[in-house]
Amino acid sequence: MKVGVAMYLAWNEIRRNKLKFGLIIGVIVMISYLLFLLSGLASGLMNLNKEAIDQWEADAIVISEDANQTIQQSMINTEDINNLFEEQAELKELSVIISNEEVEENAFVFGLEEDSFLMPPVIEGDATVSENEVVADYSLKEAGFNIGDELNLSNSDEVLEITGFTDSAQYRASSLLFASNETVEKLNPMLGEDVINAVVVKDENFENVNVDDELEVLAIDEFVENLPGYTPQQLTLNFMIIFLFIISSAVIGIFLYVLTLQKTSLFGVLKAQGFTNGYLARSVLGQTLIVALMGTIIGLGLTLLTGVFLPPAVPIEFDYLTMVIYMVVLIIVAMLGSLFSVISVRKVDPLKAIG
Amino acid sequence: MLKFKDVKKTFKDGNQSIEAVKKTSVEFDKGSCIAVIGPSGSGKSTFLTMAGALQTPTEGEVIVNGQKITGMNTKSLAKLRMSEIGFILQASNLVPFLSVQQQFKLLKKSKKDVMTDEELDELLNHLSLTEVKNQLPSEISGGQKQRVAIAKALYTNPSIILADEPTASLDTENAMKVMEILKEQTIERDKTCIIVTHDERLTEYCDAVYKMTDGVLEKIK
Repeated sequence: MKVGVAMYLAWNEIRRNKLKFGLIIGVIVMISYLLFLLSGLASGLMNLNKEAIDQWEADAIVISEDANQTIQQSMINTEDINNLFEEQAELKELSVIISNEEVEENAFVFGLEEDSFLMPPVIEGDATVSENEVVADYSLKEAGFNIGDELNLSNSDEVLEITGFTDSAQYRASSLLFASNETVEKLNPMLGEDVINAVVVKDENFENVNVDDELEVLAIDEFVENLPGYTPQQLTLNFMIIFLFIISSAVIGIFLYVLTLQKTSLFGVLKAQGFTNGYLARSVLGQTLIVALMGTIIGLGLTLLTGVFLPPAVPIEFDYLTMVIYMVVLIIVAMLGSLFSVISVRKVDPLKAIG
Repeated sequence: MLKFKDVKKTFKDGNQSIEAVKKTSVEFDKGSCIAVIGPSGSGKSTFLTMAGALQTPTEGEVIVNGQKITGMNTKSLAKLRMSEIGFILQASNLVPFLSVQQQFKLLKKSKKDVMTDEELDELLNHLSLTEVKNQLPSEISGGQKQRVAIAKALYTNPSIILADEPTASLDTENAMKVMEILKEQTIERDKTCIIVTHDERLTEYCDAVYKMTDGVLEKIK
């Protein structure tokens, strides 16, 4: 009830001063637009690194201890890891540069067993791969590759043929090719029949399983965080977002403070008429809430609209839950900024204000 | 009823102590319109703001309808002002972004015991404000603004109306009209109305006239 009364004053002021409040809403729109775009880019960049890993829905990964937590440097003998976990999938990995004469791309080749859970769902073409055949992730289709394309490799004389496409499944900001173990062995003879790079594990109790001293079992989140460049990239974007929140608070706070100063005499008169500090404080906070809500909703709409028109090469991905959380935080931050105004309202002396 | 009992108000100005209102005892009854005249700086505004619970006396007691305002906290003083006191100020002081009608809606949302809609319509009609009730303060004349301020002061059914130079921004014709309305409403609605002014022409509308000279209040009529 009390809030509704305070909102009456707040809302009517906004309604009658469209230009003034439109400018403040405009500032919040721009801040929230930048914030949502940054969050989308952060999410997209993270996804570029771990999209394939997320699809595994795995709990852990086993690699050799001296591999510095990177798959390609790890070498495991399959005998050392046979049936240790509830569910496990062998992985061979190598990086290549592929070309179909028209397009050239960096990619990783994953050598998998038949029916491995590491293989994402095939959405186009054939899922089974014979020797020198690969299934590519959808990002390669978007890059200009097609089923039947013959791929030349920069570091091998072998030629691979694309037989199908899976869902988009990027890994370390590169596309993926899924091949049989035999194909990978031909590309890198060091990855022979009994040698693999890693074992991906689906087992909630993986920490209780004893493995060979030369192997280490990493929780999948820890593995992702240690992907080359992943954490610094994430930290950079997160710092930008945090500073943007702080700057937003200051900018919105300053705007509202100036507005409050302009209304000193009005607040004085209202106080003289018997309106309490609490009422006026609720009015200021209510006004901030309305302005911040309108600004962030428009900012959100603009961001989603921008997302539609951005080229696929821009790694942007909107996580709606994160965006809603950022929206709520931005509104809270704006309310915190308006606390300066609330304090100044408390200090208004009705005696001085009415002359 | 408004009562001043041995009220004194002093202000500090550096090391000096200035007595804005010297020891005063006075009582104003309901249904009477009182003028307080005096030159600028004589202490009449200080007197009015103490009567309006905007400041408390240094010594003595101000009693509004049996309630001593001395010792009340800010919130209680605000509540007292909302329920018992109606202010009419020099420059009308309406909320600039609310229409005439909305000025009353705002008060209605904050206080339950206000006039009924029918009573308000009647009052606005009587004050010739019906036609401007959907307009903003910036869209109406000075006289109309001051009449809205009078209507606002009456709307919350206060027992005391305090007017500080209510005709200062008006021409003679409008000033006299405002005074007629103020006098008439005070009697009709059984209020105590205190008008602070240095325009002695207004005293002819009042039941009693007090003069404030250097902080001393003296009844002259």
